[in-house]
This record gives sequence, C-alpha cells and structure tokens, in this order.
Amino acid sequence: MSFSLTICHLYPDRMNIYGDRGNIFALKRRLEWRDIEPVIEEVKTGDKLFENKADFYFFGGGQDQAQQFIAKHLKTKADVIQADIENGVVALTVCGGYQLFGRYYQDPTGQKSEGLGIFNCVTEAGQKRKVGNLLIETTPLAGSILDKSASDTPYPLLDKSTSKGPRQYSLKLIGFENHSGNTFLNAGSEPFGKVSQGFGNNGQDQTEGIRYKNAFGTYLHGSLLPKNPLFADYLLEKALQNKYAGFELKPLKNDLELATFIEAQASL
Amino acid sequence: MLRFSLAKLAGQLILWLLKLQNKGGTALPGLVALKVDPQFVQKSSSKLNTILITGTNGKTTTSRLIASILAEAKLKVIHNRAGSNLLRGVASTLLSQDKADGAKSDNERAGETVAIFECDEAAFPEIAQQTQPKTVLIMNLFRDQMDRYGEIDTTLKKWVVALENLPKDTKVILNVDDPSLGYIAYQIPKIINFGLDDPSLDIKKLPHTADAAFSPESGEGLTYSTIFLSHLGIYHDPKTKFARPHLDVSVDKIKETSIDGSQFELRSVSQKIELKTYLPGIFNLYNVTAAATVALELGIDPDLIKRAVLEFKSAFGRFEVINVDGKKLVLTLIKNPVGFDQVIDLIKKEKGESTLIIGINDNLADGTDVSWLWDADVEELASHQGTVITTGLRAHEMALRLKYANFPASRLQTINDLNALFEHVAKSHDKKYYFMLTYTAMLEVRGLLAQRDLVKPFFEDWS
Repeated sequence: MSFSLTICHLYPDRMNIYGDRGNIFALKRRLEWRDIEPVIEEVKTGDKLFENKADFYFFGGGQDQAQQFIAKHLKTKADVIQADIENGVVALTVCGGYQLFGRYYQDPTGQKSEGLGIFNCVTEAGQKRKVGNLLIETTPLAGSILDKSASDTPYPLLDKSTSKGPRQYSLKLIGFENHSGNTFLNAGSEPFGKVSQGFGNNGQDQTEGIRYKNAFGTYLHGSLLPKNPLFADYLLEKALQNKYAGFELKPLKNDLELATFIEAQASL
Repeated sequence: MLRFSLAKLAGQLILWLLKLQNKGGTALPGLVALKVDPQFVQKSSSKLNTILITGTNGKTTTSRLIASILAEAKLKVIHNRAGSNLLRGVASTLLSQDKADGAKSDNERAGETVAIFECDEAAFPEIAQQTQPKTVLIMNLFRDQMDRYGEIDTTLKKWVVALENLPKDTKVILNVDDPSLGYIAYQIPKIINFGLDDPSLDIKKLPHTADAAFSPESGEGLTYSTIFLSHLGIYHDPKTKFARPHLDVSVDKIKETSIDGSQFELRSVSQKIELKTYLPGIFNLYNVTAAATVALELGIDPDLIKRAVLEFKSAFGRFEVINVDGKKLVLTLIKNPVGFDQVIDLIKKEKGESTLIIGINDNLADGTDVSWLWDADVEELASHQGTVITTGLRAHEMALRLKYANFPASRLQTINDLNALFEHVAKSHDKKYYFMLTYTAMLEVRGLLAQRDLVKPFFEDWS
C-alpha cells in the first residue's frame, strides 16, 4: 500500500517571513525518507479550500500589513478550516498564523483584525518587541514515535508518564521569537508549553503558544521543525493516524538535528 | 562650543589609544564623542558636502565606488570605508579625518571636501537628520537581520519620514526597480530614478525571497513584465496606476554580465556612457549604476567615471580573491537570503571543481536569528559536485539546512575550528575554495589570513 499526506500551506506568498518555510521542508523530507508521498497544496488569496482535503495545515508568520490583508481573506475559508480542526486535523501555526487562528489581533493603532477563533486567545500589539532565542518545555505529548525515540536516541525528551495513563513526554523545543504582539490565553485554554528562556506569549505568564485538539500555535521560528524533529514526527504521526488507522511512524536517525539543537542552546 | 571641543578631544584621545594598540577605532571613538556631545556629528559635518548611502545590500561596494570616482576627479573625500555605518561610525570617521587635516580652517577645506557615509538601514534617519546631506542614495530594501529591524514595512516608513525632513534641495537618488523605492518616488519631490531596462536579463520568475512583490498601494500582487533580481524589476499594480516610475538614468544595453564582470551602456537624460567593470554579477551592475548616477549628478566627467569603474577592485570579503600555494580562495560575504542566493547563483555558473566553505556566526553583527538560512535557496547547491564544509558558531544549523536541501551527507563536513579548517584546505587537492561567510566569520577568516600576511587587516584597507 502506498501512503501520502496532503499538507495545506496557507498563504505561502505573504505569510512567509522569518524562514518559516523550513517547516515545510522538514515535513516534506521526513515523509519522503519514510517513502510517504508529501502533497503540498499552496492556498493563496483567491484559491478555494475544500473540507476534508487537508491532512495537515501549516500557517506561517508575516508582517503587520500582510496579516491585516490576510485576515480579511481568511474569512472566506473560515468554515472549512474550523470544521477540519474540530475533526482533529493537525495544524501548526507560527507567529502571525498563530495570531490569526486566535479570536483577534489588535495592531499598535488599536485596529482589530478578527481571527478564526479556533484558539481561545487574543493578541494585542505591545510596546516592546520580543526578540531572541526561545527555549520551552511542551505540555505532555503522547505518541508511539515518541515511545520509540525515548529508548533509541538521547534527546531533549522528558518522560512525564504517570503510573495510570499512557506514556507521555514533554519535549524541549528551541527556536527564535520576534513579535511585538502579546498573546493572552483565555480561561480554559491549554498552552503549548512553558517558557524556560525567552518571552513566549507575553513575557508575563511564562506560557508559550497554545494547543487545541491537534492544532498548535507557537512563536518559535528558527525554523521550528528542522532542529526539533521529534515534534515534527509527533505531528506527522498524528496526521497519518487520522488517515490510516493504527499507522506507526518509523524512527529516523536524528544525530545532526540533536547536534544543531545543542549548538543553538549555546546561543541562549 | 566647549562641549563640542571636549567631545572632539575625548574622541581623538580614544582613537589615539586604539591606534597605539593597533586596533581599528571605527566605532568606539565616535561613541565616546557622542556621549560627551550628542550633536557631535551635526556640528562636525555642518560645512561638508555629504552623500549618504543606505539600503540592504550593496552599500559598502557602492560607497567605495563613489569614493574611487571622486578620488579620480581629484576631490578630497571623507569616507567610513571600513563599513562602520551606525551614527558612532560616522562620528569616528569625522574624528579621524579632522585629526589628519591638522590646523586648516573649516571654510578653506570644507568647500572641496565630500563626505561619503554608508548608513545602516535603521541608523539612516538619525544620520540624515544630523548630517543634512546634499545627496542621498537608496539602493534597495530586502529582508535582512530580522532581529534588528523588526519589519521591512517599518523601515520603509521611517525612511519616508527622514526624507521628508531633509532640506528641499537635497538630491534623492533611488533604485526604483525596487517597488518599495518606487513607492517612495511618488511621495517625495525631486527624485532621480535609476534602474535596469534590458529585457535580455529577465529571470522570469519571482524567487522565494521576493518579499516586496506586493503593491504598497493596493496590497495586491504586483505584475512584472521583467524580473532582474529578487523583487527588482519592471512592475505594475494590476488594480491601480502604481507602476515603476520613469527612469532618469537607465541601463538598457547590457553586452555581458557574469562572474568576470559586466559591460553595459548607461543612459541619462543628456548622455550615454559605456561602462566596464570586473565586479561580478547583476547585483554589482546595480552598484556600479548607482555610483555612476551619483557621480553624474555631482557633475563628474564621464571619462573619469569610466576609468575609476574599470580600475575598481572589490571591498574586503566581496568576491575577494586570494591566491596561496597554487590554490584560489574566494571570500564572499553573506548576510541575508537575497545576498546568499546571488552568491550561490554566481558560483553555480563557475566551471571546474571547487570546495564550498560556508561559515555562519550568530553574533550581533551577523544577526542573531539564523532563520534566514531557511529562506535562502540552498536547494540550488544540491547539484554541486564537490564537498561542502560548514563552520562557525552555527555550523550544524547550516549542515542541517543542507541536509534538508537533499545535499548528500557523504560530501558534507563540519569543521568548527578555523585553524583545523585551514589545515584541511592546505592538505586537500582542490584548487578552488569558495568561502561564504557571515560578517564576524569573515573577520575571523581574514584575521587568520592577515596573520599569515595574505591580506591586510580590514581597517587598513585604504587602497
């Protein structure tokens, strides 16, 4: 049987600042190296989006003006994306993309751009730009690829399994943030992780990013996935399991990725 | 008056102390002078004929070109040629120059002295306000060192404000092949526009790094009839009247352009000049055009411009060729995706085997965010037949970038230590080595080469 995964890249032409396409490279290659065919669908303004077509959504960051422009166009795709996320489709949203998946983004002049409301959070432009290397520990994640990696590779993987539940792990993730927006999670929302070093969502409450079902929002550029391959694999396995019940991802050798992670830590 | 004299004294003292220790003195003396008198640059430059150059890529080369042309025309030039381009760099340059002049009176010297200052994109508004220049040249605006500037749009807005506050008779010279600068041209009176106009150079497709390809007016994607480099080309907004403005100075006949240089015809309102340069590639074609346009505006004789351009050699680290023990080392500076793409493009066109050495540091001067590596079209290197060695503080990140660009692991190496790297180069059989280095990595490599007397230290590069 041949396997494939359709990755829907939202607005790649405008929301593409800070090297976020590195995440697409990471997803693409890590699928190819396992003989799974990646299908990258680029969705720009004016393109139609169909429900149940995407196995994975990726949405990167952009400048303020681009974000305001996109916010208007995003409304035409809101129904499809919201329905897909409710159905458990995997999504990775970074910076501007993360903000637009929230309830609204308010720019320095006070103008509000409505978001998709998938994430229960709001973002307001702050005075200071939050720039620098960012290290976080995610809230616990579970997946067979993580179980396999825990025994194979020494990695920034922290076992958070309890005696009762399934095996689960916190991942240390490293990247670079650059945003003036302060994101505040509303009551009941689950953060993506806890800040070990850096600002995170707002520099105040030590939270970073958000998660809802299989959708994740984060401020980690870098790009995020290349030097945090276990998180890339976690996302890919979830997406593949949605499509092919019981699918288990084969582990890959991550020596260079780990060396890169350690190298990045030296810059913290 | 007293504060200014104190500032000058303090700055020159620091400069003298640094020179004693054989250090550069291109930033600290100026910083000290500005601390004592924040108006130091304004007061030192008030009687000078100042030219300011800014943009993302090409500032240093273009500034040096202009300096060479003016020197050919026997004008006295003050210039921050080592590339220290923040306000403190400008201040340091003014301090050094003043010392060299000795006791000549301001009025006597200033009339024939032209000050050329390349300015960092974020520092430009401040430097413009203090120097009140007679001429401003803006080269381009690309994404670069995102951790410093935040956003391209913000930089553009600050430039417009800075230009609006300049004296009415200041000449503003813009590369309007860049839509961001084309947009400025509509907002500021008295603009001199330059650009390329030869359709044979069309690269046909916008590369990933073409970030200003949207109309500043409507936000819609711009339509290009011709694309020269990244987002530079002949563009128009399909929804509004916004389009590349008419060119006052244009390059419409390019006879040749390659890694060996370019030969082309420059046309202004009043004349045509044939120019030949040994500087490689299209980005240098822009640099030469920019410098020639400034020189023509200053009334320099075209024959002098031609001669200076022909004899001009690259600034340190810009395709700088060093021959050692039968091996050719080519040093190139990379700072941002567009620059990296251009270097890769030129190297790909070279014939014969070579080893590529990519050195990535993430110190302040290099930009602390390495995300830009993922925006560069490193995939273009996948077809390179020889070895690639990565080095620097973020050597593994670059190796990882290559891994995900499908570059074969068997030909990919990482050597962190520079001495070990040079030993490897000495032992290996390849005859050609292309170094692609970020700023502080370039300083380190050149430092090592200077120790072995193969190059002059960067601040001594007064040639």
